[in-house]
This record gives sequence, structure tokens and C-alpha cells, in this order.
Amino acid sequence: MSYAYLFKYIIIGDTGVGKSCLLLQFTDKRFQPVHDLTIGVEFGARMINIDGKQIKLQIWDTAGQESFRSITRSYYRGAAGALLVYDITRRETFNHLASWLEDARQHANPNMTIMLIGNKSDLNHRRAVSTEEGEQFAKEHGLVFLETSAKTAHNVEEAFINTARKIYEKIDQGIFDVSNESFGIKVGYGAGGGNAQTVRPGEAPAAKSSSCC
Amino acid sequence: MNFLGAVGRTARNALRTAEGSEDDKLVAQLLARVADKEQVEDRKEALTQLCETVSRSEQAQLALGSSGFLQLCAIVQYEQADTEMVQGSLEALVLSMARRPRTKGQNPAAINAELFARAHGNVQLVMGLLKAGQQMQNPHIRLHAVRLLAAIAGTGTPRLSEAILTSPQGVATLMDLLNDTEAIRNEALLLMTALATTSSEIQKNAASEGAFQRLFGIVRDEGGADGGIVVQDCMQLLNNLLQDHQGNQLLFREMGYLQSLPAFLKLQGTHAISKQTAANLSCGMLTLHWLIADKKVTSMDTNDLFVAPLLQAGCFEALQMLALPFGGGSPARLRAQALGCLADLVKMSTAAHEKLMSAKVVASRSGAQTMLLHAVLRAALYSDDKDEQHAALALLTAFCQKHAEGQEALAATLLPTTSNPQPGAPRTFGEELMLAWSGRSTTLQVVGRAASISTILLRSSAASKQRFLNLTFQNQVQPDQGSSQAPSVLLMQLCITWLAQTVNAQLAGVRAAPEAPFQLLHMLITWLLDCPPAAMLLASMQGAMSTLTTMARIRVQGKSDLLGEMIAVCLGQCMVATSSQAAPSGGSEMIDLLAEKVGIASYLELVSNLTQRCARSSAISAESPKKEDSSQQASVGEMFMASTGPEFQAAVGRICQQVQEVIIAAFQEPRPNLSVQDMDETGLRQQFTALERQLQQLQRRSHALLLEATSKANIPAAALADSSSQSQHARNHSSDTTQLPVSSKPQADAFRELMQQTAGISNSSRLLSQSIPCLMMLKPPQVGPAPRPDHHGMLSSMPDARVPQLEARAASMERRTAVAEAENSSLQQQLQSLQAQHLALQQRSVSEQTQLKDQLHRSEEKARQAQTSAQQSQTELQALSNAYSDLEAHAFSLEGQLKGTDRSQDRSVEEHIAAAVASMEQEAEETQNDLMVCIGEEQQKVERLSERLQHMGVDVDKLLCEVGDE
Repeated sequence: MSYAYLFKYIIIGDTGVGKSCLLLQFTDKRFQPVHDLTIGVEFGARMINIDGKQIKLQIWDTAGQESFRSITRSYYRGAAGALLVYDITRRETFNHLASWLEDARQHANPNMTIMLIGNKSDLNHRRAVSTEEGEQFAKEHGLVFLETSAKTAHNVEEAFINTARKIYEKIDQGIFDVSNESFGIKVGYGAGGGNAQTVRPGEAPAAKSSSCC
Repeated sequence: MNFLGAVGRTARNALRTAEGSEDDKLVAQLLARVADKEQVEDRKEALTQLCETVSRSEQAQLALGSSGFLQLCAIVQYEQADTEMVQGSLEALVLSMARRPRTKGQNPAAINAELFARAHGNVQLVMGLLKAGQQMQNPHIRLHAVRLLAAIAGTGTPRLSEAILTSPQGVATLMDLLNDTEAIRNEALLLMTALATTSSEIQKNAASEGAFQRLFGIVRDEGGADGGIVVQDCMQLLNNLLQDHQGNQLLFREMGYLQSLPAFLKLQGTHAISKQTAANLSCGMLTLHWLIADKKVTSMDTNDLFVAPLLQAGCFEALQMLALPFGGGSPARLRAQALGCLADLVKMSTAAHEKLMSAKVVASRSGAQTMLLHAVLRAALYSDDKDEQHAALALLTAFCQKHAEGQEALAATLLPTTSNPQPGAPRTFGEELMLAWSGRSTTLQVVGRAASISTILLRSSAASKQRFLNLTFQNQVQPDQGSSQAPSVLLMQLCITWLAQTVNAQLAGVRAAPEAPFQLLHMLITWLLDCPPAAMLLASMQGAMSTLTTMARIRVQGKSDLLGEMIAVCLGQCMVATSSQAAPSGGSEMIDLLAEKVGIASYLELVSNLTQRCARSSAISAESPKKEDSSQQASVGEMFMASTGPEFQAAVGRICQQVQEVIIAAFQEPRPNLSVQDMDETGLRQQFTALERQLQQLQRRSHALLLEATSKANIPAAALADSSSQSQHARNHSSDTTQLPVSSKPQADAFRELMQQTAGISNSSRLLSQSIPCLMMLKPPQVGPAPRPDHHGMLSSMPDARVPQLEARAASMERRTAVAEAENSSLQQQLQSLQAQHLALQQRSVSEQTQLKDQLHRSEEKARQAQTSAQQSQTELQALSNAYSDLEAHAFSLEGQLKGTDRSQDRSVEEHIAAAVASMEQEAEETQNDLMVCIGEEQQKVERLSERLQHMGVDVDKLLCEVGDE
């Protein structure tokens, strides 16, 4: 149960692009073609390993519908990573990316790592957005890009883990003040490398000197 | 007095109204003074007075709500520099939403909260005071702002949570308050506790904002479970966040907080628990309950996800300490809750079950260790607290249910006591339970509880049932018999003795242990269920049957209640067992006994009542577990029945059915010939039995008939209503009239059937009454010396020895004949009343039939009228269709003309359209020009105004932004 770090993620994007399926594939390793529309937000969690460090991902899957936008906005705060998802078979979901980015930039912390995800890569025959376009958008806005399939699990692990790796690198570079939880990062057991310190949830984390500032 | 009272009331009301209008005026005056910005000091004083007035009077509260909110909000919004005024305004707002202890009719707090929260900007304004950027602001203002929100939330209006959810970072702002100063933090806790009950989105958002961490942080800082009321508030909020929220429960688990709960619940030291600590621990256990027991779908996941980590973190041990009276002196309510949580754990997890099986605890002040289960048994037997006793019983039930080996292990500790029990306290579970059954100081209440616990051990366990059969006790209950004569008694005997005592106590009006007889019977029925040896034992036990039948009769004579019904089931179990054991006439002997003491019809009624009760009880328990009943006896019974569970109720239903089958089979045996020739003693006996059976059969049939007749008596009324509605229908639709006579046909059939049955019965009863005197005449001389094997299979060679025996038999027969005669006469009476009913029914049906016939005639007439009108319509239709064909021809000719003109019109239409478009464009241009001019003018105005405002020192840009937002 103990972890070195806890990263808070948020999954955003238009309704029906496969956000909940991505989460389910990542946490439960299964695909559910028919499921209820997400109301507000849903929660999922999984432990991953990066460079021998246990990292717990706390993932908030949001509703894509406009009517829930005000609720989902409150989850941007304190997110270390975001998965911005569009559907490669529906052009309009790609066209809305800019407005999602604007939302994220407005409500999230500026250092949040954003991964752009073109989902449903298994439906290549119905593709409406080319891979190049996705790459281009990511490059223009400084995002990481991957095409995934929640159905076949293609690149799903990578999407979540690569994001975590980016965040981990940022911690290493001292971009984050890990003692400030508004960055969506919590220090757990063994985060400090050699001088392992135990931070049990429910107890105050032992004072840790920040690596920046 | 009445008059004076009325005058007094009127005067008081008038005074109140006058006061009310006074307060209205006062509030208006004070608000006017507050609005006057010239008088700075007077404003402040007016605001203080306003607060006083509002806190004093309900009417002022309402008055402020209806006229003052806008003004106060304006002060908060625009006069932030004057902290005193802002603070005063906020305080007035808080007071306007303060709940009053007694409010009749309207609730000013709720009305005001609704009014305030309805205006979206109001909540945003208050939230604005709390935002992170406002940290430097006067803490008093922030405190008042939180109090205001908490007061609104306290009224339960959903508008507040809606407003908070729509305001950006609303929940986050409130959660940040948990890190604020102590006063603000405590208010924020109350605010969040109230908000979490109104919206699951708030629950979720608060959890995602790190609520669990903050709450456990506060709990730790405040000293854990030994902390003050703030700890209770924290745990309360935690409960509200987790209750009915699977997502939050998962987050709680995933973030590793499960381990924090056992740590919180673990008692520190063995000192007595304070009231506050008990409240804190109680909240903690409620959290535990939400996490383990309150799952809509109980799956194996719950065990893996929640129970296993909890057990690993020492949850069982912590609860065990709380559950015991000697653990830390925890109060009974807390012990009951801890036992309940243990039961939840044991139900969910095999590991917890194993822990319970092997756990040892210090259960006495001397420090001696005992098995935890033994301690739980003591609580189940002797606790003065009803909740604790029930919880202990529930834990034992959880332990035995679905865990046959646990049940078996417990039952194995019950050993027959052949000698005097060891002095000192009982050392095992079995000894404790045996002592409860037969100890010198045991009471009816304790015996009832011991029966409940025994029921748990007996339930669906053939081995336990067998073991219980051999259990013997030192007889200490019946001192009159003396221990030398009866050194030990069987548990079954003890049961019957106690049952008789409890029933007698009830008859004597002792209210000490109202549940005890039900508990004893519940145990007996459970024991006898699918265990023929037990039923045989009870049936063969000296005096048991007669005790039970007597009790059943006593209850019947009073009123048919659950107790009599349960006794009837118990007797039925014996009857079924004896009749299926191929014991010659075993079952029929019992039937005879029942016939003599209770009466078969009454007995069957008891059985069928219980069947219905079971069906009703399961329906009730499915709908709502609690049902108030008028009489206490009945309510104890109903509540007990509801607590027995569906399995037991189903089993009882099954037994009732079997009993009915056995009795019917007994009566359907070949009927012996009623001829009175060749009458030796055996023949006479056979004939008599046959006669008696026939009588009973008749009685049963007549009972059934009576029921049928009463149910059929209800038919005509219903049929009448039905047929009258049909005739109504018939008046509207003449074609339906053919259905009318049909409705009365089944009724006629029923009458005929009833008449036939009555005739049959009256025939057989006539036959019977003829045969009874015949028998009486024959009986005395028929004591002939025909040799026959007696009960032991030995041939009796001495006729004079048999004379008294035969005489006794003759006497019994005489008695039976008298009974038969009595029953026959009552039968005749029933028949007469039945016939009277039939007559009445017949008369009704005749009058009904004439009515129906009248209606039929009327309807037929209507049908004829309808037919003629239909013919008329047909001719009209014909005329119409002719007219239509004329029209069609006309239309064709018109179409031809149109086609001719079309071509010439096309061109002119195009010209028209072009002209119209041109004119419209011109018009639009003109309008646009006008608009531009207007906008220019407005722009100039705005600029000039802005300049003026800037001169006055107002932040124009901000103002414009706000105007734009609105």
C-alpha cells in the first residue's frame, strides 16, 4: 500500500471519446463497450512503478458534457497530470481541443503535465483525424501525444505511465515543490531515495525540505 | 372558564399581531437608518439594534428577510473598507437565518435561507470573502461569512450546494478553511457536514480536495478519540462523506485511510471512557459500518477490499476491547455498537470468523481469561441493555450462520450434566448456556434468551438437534419433585416446563418476559423441524401433549394469537412425525386428543392463521421492518415473528401444509359401515372412531362451507355493482347487451352447488343423529369376553380382570358420544344458519335477476333506436358521397384552368420578389445607420460618465466588467 509519490490525474475531453473506457482499461484491464454516461466525476486508482519507485495514481475521470463543466472544473486544482482525450473518428472532438486546453490553463496549475490522446485507434478505417494532425497540435501546444485504443488496450499503459514519468522528471528537475499539495503530488514512503521516510496517509507527512525555491 | 380562556387567547393573539407589526415597523426604521450614509455613527448603532431585534423576534427575522437582504448585501459588497459595517451586516444576516427552538407553522430561518440563496450573486458574494486571496482580511469577517453559510446549510436548502458547486473552486475554497484558524476551521467543519448531506457532488469534490487527510490530521492534533467535540465533528463529516458513496469509500481505501480507523478505535489504557470519547468512538464505529456493512451489493470484493485490510490493521482487537464491559468500562450503547460491528465483520469474512472462534479476552476484574464467545454469550444472556443483548445475539447468529463448523464447535461444548455442577463460575460456553437453562437463580427472561441462543445452535444442524436430544440437567427447577426421585431431566422436558410457566405467567398478567414463550416455541419448532426423533420424543413424553393442547385451548378461548398458533405448529410437527413413523394409530391418537381438547376446526383455524401471518410478516418485513400494533401482546408477537426471518417463516408454512394434509388423509380413510349388526367390542370401538371422524370431517366441511358461504355472500353485492356498471355501458353501446344475462349465471351455479352441499351435510348429520342413540343402546351389553391381545401382546385369559377395563372404555365411549351429540347439535345449528343464508342469497338473486331483466329490456329498446339512427346515418352518408363526387369533378375543372394561367403568372412573381428584396435592403440599411448613431451617442455618454466617476475615485474598469458579467 505504501508509495513513494501520489500523483493526481484528471481525464478531460468531449463526451463519448472514451475517457471512462481508458480509465477502466488502465485500472481493471477490461473494456466495457456499453456503459452509463459519466455523471460529474468518477474515481479510479492504480499503483505503477517508475525507476523502482512505487507511484500511486489517483485518477479523476470527468463528464464530457457541457452541463457538468462547472463541476468538473473544480477537479483541475491540484492535478499533476491531465489526459486530454479526443476521438480520432470524430473530427469535432479534435476541434474542441483548444477550448479544453483553455479551461485547463485557466483552472489548473501551470506546471500540470498534459498528455494529448487520440483514442479509438482500432477504428482506423473510420479515421477523421490523421496522426500527423494530432502530433502537430501537440507540438504547437507543448503537449505529449499518443494514439490509444481503450478497446485493444493499445498504448493505454503508456499514456498513463509516460505522463507519470514526465511528472517524475519534473520533480527531479525541481520544478515542483512537492511539499505543496496544490501541485497534485504527495510524498509517500521512500520518496527521498536513500533516506526513506515513512509517510502514512492519515498522518501528517514528515516535514520534507523542498527541492526547489 | 371557556369564555375567559377564549378572550385570553384572542387578547394574546391580538397582542402578538400588534407586536409583529411593531417589529415590522422597527426593522423598517432601522434599515432606513442603516441606509443613511450621512450619519456614520447612527448607522452603526442602528445595525447593532437591528441585530438585537432580529435575534429577539421571529417577526423581525421574517421582516429582515423580506426587505433587508439587498441592502445588507450591498454593504458587504461595496463598503468592504468599513469592516465594522460589513461585520455587522453579516451578523444580521446570520441572525436572520438562526433556527429557533420552537417555531409554529412557518420557519423563518428556512424561508430566509431560501430567499438568500435563491439570488445567485449572494452566495458568490459570501464565498468571495472566503477566497484564498482574502487571507489577509479581517478574520472576524471570514468567521461571520462561514457562519452565514453554515446557517444557510443548516436549513437544508439544496440551493446553497448548487451555488457552491457552480462557483469556481467553491468546494476547494471551503476545504481550505479546514486549515484556517481554529474558530473558522470548526465552523467550516459544521458547514461541510451539513453540505455533504445535500449533494453527492459535494461529497465527492470534498473528498478529492483531500478531506480525509485533513480530517485525520485534525483528529490527530486534537488527541484522537480522547479529544473534544471537534473530533466528533470531524468523524461526523467523515461519515457524511462516506455514507452511501461507493466512490468515496473506494478513494478512502485506495488512499490508505482504512488503517487509520482501527488506530482511532483502539482504546488507550483501561480508564473509564468519558461521554465525549464514547461519542467520538461511536462515530468511528459508524464509519466502519458504512465501509463494511452498508453495501448495496455484497460481493467478495468487499471482503478483499475493505475487511481484510481492516482486520490486518487490528480492527477486530480494537472492537473486541470496546465490546466488553471489563475492557475499558465502555458504556452499554458503545458495547452494543462494537458487537454489531464485530457481527458485520464476521458476516463478511472467514478470517474474522476464525478470530472470533479463537479470541480470548479478560472478562472479569480478577483478570482471568475467557473465550470471547463465552463473554458474548454472557452479554446475550444477562445484559440489562436491550441493544447490547440483541447485538450479542446477532453476533452469535453471524458466527453460526454459514459457518457450520463454528456452530458445531459451539454445540459441542454442551455436555449432559449427570452430577452436581462444579462450584464457581461456568468455564465454557456450554456450561454457561446449561446454567441459564437450569440454574437456581435463572429467570423466565434468561430462559427465553437461552432458548434464542439454543435456536441459533439448532438451526439447520442435524448434529446439534441430535445432541440436544441427549442433554440432561440436574433438576433444580421443580423442587416439589425432589432431586432424589428425578435426578435429571431432558432438555425437552425442561422446555415444556418452562413453556408452561411462561404461559401461565402471561395468563397471570406478568409482563416480565413477554418474549420468552415465543422464544421457547421458536426453539422447539426449530428443533423439531426435519428431526423426527425430537418430535417423537415430544409426542411420547409424559404429559407434554396434554400440556400443549391445554395451552393451545387456553389461547383459543381467549383470542387466537401467535402463541396458540405456534403451539399448534409444534403439535402439528408431532402429529406429522407420528403419522409418518407408521406407528399404528399414532397420528390418529393425536388427532383424537386435539379433537377432544381443542376441536379440529379450531385447530385448523390456528394453523391456517399462522400460515397467513407468515405470509403477511414476510411481506411486512420486506416493506418496513417496524409496524405499530395496538395491543402490546400482539406487537411483541408480530415483532418476534418479523425477527425470525424468512427461512423460519417458510418452514412454518411448510409444516402447516403437512399438518393439513395429515388431517385430511386421516379423515379420508375408508368409512366403516354404519350397520349395527355383529357388534362386538372391537367392532363397536371401530365404529365409534369412524363415527367420530365422520363428525369431525363434517365439522370441518361445514366450517369450510361456512367460510365459502360468507365469501359468496359478498359476491352478489359485487356482482350487482358490476352488472349495474355493465348496464350503464349497455345503455351507451347497444351491442353489449348480450353480456348481461351471462353475469348472473355463475352466481346461479354457486347457489346450486351450495344447496347441494347443504343437502349433503344435512343428510349425513341426520344419519349421524340416528346412529348415536343406536350406539348408546348397543353399548352396555357389548362387554363380551372376546379375547384379544392387549397392549403388551399377551393374551388375557381372565375375563373378570377385563371387566373394569371395559367399563372404563364404555364410560369413555359414553363421554365421547355426548361430545359427538353436542358437536352434532352445534352442526345442526350451523346448518340452519347456513340455510337461512342461502335463502337470503336466493331472494337477493331473484330480485337481482328481475332488475337485470328490466335493464336488458331497456337496453334492447336502446339498441333498436340505435339501429334506426344508424339507417338514417347511412342514407345521409350516401347523400354526402354524391356531393363529394360532384366536388371532385369541379376540382378537376378548376385545376385545368389553373394550369392555363400559371405560365403567365410566373414572370410577374419574380419581379415582385426582386422589388420586395430591394425595399427591404434599403430599410435594413436605414435601421443600421440609426443604430450606429445610437451606439455612438451611448459611447459618448459612457465616456463622459466614466470620466466623472474616475474623478470621484471609482474603479470604472472593474465596474464596467461587473456590468458586463451581469
